[in-house]
Amino acid sequence: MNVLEFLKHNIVFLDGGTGTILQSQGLQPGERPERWNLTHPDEIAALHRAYFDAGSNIVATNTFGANRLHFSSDELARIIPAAVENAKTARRECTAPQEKFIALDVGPSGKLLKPLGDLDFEDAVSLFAETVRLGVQAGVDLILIETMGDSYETKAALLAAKESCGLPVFVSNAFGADGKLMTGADAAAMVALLEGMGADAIGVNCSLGPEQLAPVVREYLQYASAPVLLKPNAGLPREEDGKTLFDVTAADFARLTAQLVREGVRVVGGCCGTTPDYIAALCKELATEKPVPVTEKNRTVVSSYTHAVTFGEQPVLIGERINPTGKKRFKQALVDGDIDYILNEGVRQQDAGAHILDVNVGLPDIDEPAMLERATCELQAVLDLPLQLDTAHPDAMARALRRYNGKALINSVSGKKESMAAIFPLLKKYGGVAIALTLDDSGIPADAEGRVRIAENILKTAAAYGVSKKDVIFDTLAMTVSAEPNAARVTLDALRRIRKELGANTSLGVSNVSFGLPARDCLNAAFFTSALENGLSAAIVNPFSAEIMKAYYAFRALHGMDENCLDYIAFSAKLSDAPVQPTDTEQTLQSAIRRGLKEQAARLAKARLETEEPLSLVQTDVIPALDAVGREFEAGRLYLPQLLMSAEAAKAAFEEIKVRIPARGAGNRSEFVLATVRGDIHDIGKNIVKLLLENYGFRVLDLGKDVPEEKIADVAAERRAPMVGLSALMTTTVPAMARTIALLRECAPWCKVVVGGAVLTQDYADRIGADHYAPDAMDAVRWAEETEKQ
Amino acid sequence: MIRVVTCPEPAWDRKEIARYAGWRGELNEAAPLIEDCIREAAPVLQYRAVYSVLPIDRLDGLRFGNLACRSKTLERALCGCDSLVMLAATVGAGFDRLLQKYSVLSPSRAVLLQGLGAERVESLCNALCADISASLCPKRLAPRVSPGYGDIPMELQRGIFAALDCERKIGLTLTDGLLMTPSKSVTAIAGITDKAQAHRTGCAACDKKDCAFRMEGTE
Repeated sequence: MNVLEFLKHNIVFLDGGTGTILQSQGLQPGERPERWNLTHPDEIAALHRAYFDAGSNIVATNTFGANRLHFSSDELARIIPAAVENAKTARRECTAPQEKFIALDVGPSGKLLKPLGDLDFEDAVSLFAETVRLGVQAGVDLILIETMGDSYETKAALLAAKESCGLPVFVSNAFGADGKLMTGADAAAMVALLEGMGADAIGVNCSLGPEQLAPVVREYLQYASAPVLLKPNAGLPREEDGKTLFDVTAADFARLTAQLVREGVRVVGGCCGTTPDYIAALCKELATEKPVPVTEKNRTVVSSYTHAVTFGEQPVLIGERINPTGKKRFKQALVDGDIDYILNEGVRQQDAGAHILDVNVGLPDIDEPAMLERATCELQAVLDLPLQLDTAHPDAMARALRRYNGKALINSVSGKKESMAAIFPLLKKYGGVAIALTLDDSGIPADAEGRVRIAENILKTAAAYGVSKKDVIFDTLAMTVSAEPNAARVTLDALRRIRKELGANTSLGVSNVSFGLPARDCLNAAFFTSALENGLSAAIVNPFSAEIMKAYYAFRALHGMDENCLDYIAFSAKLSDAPVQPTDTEQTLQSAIRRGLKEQAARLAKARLETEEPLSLVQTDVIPALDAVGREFEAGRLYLPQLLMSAEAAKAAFEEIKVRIPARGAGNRSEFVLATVRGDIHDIGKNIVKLLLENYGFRVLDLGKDVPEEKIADVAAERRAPMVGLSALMTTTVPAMARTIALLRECAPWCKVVVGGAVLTQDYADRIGADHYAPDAMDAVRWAEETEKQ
Repeated sequence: MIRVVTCPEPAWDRKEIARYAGWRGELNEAAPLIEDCIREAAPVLQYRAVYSVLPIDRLDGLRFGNLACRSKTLERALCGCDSLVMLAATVGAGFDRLLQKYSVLSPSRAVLLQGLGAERVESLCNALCADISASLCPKRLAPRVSPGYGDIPMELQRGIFAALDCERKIGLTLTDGLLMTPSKSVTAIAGITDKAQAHRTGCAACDKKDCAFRMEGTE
């Protein structure tokens, strides 16, 4: 029988601890247990056998860390088949009557993924795939991904399993006492991510005992439409007479864990500290118990790496500002690959109250698939909001969805055949919720009836692809009222009917309605309120619009969605805050920069630009102020944080200046290629140098962190860059710096190289052949100015 | 046995935050900025540690657990001890996210947060070591040392990580270049001694006289 068939009608019993038992049999601290499959096959088979004898339906192979970060490919190709063989031996020899399956056990890689660590997402996928392929060849029945402490790595492992085999995949995460994974995801976020990608059972293991895991298990039971799995520890370890004991006994473990099975857990076993006795006690406790049916929860949910956002309860605001349409400065940022600008727009929208961010980076002249993938990765590195990936380019959508750390909102699919054929398979594979536009190959119907018909057709087609209704949100298309007087009414009628008749969630791009009219905010807000009254679940809006935010908070207060109107009151307090009146009478742009006051510097620059030429403002105020601060720093009268606050104030002034002259305002000096070298993942120092260089007008090409030698050399050669700056934090990454310099000498002999970073000294810099050692960021700027002159 | 502990928030040392951030001037000016950083960082900080007590074997260099190491610094630190505490502590990945965010948005704040993170993980280690030390009474814990300190090889990190199962127990990992991620983390070794407190501790006990973070007034 297939394990999923068996799961349909039964409680499925897993095995218990492996590592803790092997330790008691002589496994040394630091020794890899997976090698015991080869060196101690009898002990391993006997352990599996003991679990089958105790009543386990599934025994997991002794392959927790069997991946190529811990073993060579040759050794892996011996260990994994041996591990599966040991489990098969146990199954063959066990005479107990229950159904028996063998799961390939897949634990975490042991590394953190980028951007937190140095393991690339695709490298993680490929190393898990290698393990899965070997296990499948050896004849396992299912894959058990377990003890994962990071959502992104969990996604990589699940994707690898799905791409390498058609076997069932169970996925289990290790939650802390705070109800979160090590890297921040809560239960709702993991349920969204894993169900979206089609995991066959999902749940929780390790970390804690059954009692402490109960709250997070209950969250899983509340949110999950898939069967829930639980494998707790036998509590916490303690030492007695040199032996490690756990503080939850087999009887208590069985009683506490069984309670959660009665509440709905369907796949159950034990983790660290549990033994065959624990599993036997658990099986006995539940021997006559009927399984609780798994129910469809019908929740429309997207997620980020920390949390989920649910549709249909509270109105959801999707920030629309990461989009180049009609924004000169944004377009320039895209052309320049200036990702910081995009990140800033994201953070500001989050601060303004957006729940989800739309990400559109489409421009005719840029490589949109590469740019959307990059923007997605960079945004999710600094922001914890779910993203709405907005592109008409299926390849861009596929690449961004693959790298997305969560369950994304997809903008958009429509009733056009081609669109559905492109988007639904992606949604099925990577998970996601699609915004579905109610238009098809014959265009946009003029009436509500036509739009509802298209929605029905989209749902039918989605079902054929295995995509359920809960993962489709309909956009009934806000049209311009200035062009068609009935436009708004048709949109609202269709919206209400889809919500009522089809029971689906809805979304609108609100601001289209006011196109071509004055005081657009006013119309947008009124339309937004009407749409909410008609059942709108989400809206794509400008969160900086005070009118929209007023409508949002007022609606929630009026509809009992804001307990004690607390949010409304907090919002109103912000409204009455009169903009800080400039004490600017005394303040000059120069003094604002010198004192590191960002907002003032921006405001003063903006005011001065009404009458003054941008470039002269740079010459008369910004540069002199920066220079003064720089000299103070060099003289030891100011320290790094103060220097940087001034630099950021100057940057804020430059932002205003760039609005006037977007084409590289003040940045007319030489190009400067900047990178943190391979193996080094700390980039604060590099970013400090970048900030200062940009303020002094250098055109900085920032290659990021952990950059391979070849890439730095290639870019320097291709751009004929006169200067390269390299940063390294650790003695262990200085060799990468030396190799980069050697390669630069070969490929770009004209190029001058400055190095810096915590461990570097003049002596080190000389030894690795750098042209200059910069002990601090100001020195790097001075060197660049000197070098440029030569 | 490997012990995993989630520690309570250690007391904040604002002077140390400023010192690690390179703020040498009047603290008054930095104070509101530091308070703001504390407010933002506090909710994402975790205080997790893992440690193990191991006997020391002195045949052919130093051996403890399945590790072997030749290092004068480590020998000095373990002088007269027949067992040691090996530990790893981290303030978690959430804090790295915050650092990453400000590294892009506002390097000045990133520098302050960097100082805050350094202070946090040092305070965590101090609190943990004080607790362990108290539990060892009448013995106590000697000052701790770490890989990279003096002549203790960085390579020792791999052994410490394997022996303490850092990845699984507290989510602490090592990059190929031996950097720890999350970045605000410490691994350390401290001897268990029955001698009275040495009178040189902290910066005064350290040989690295040109250290940028050496306390002012230390010889």
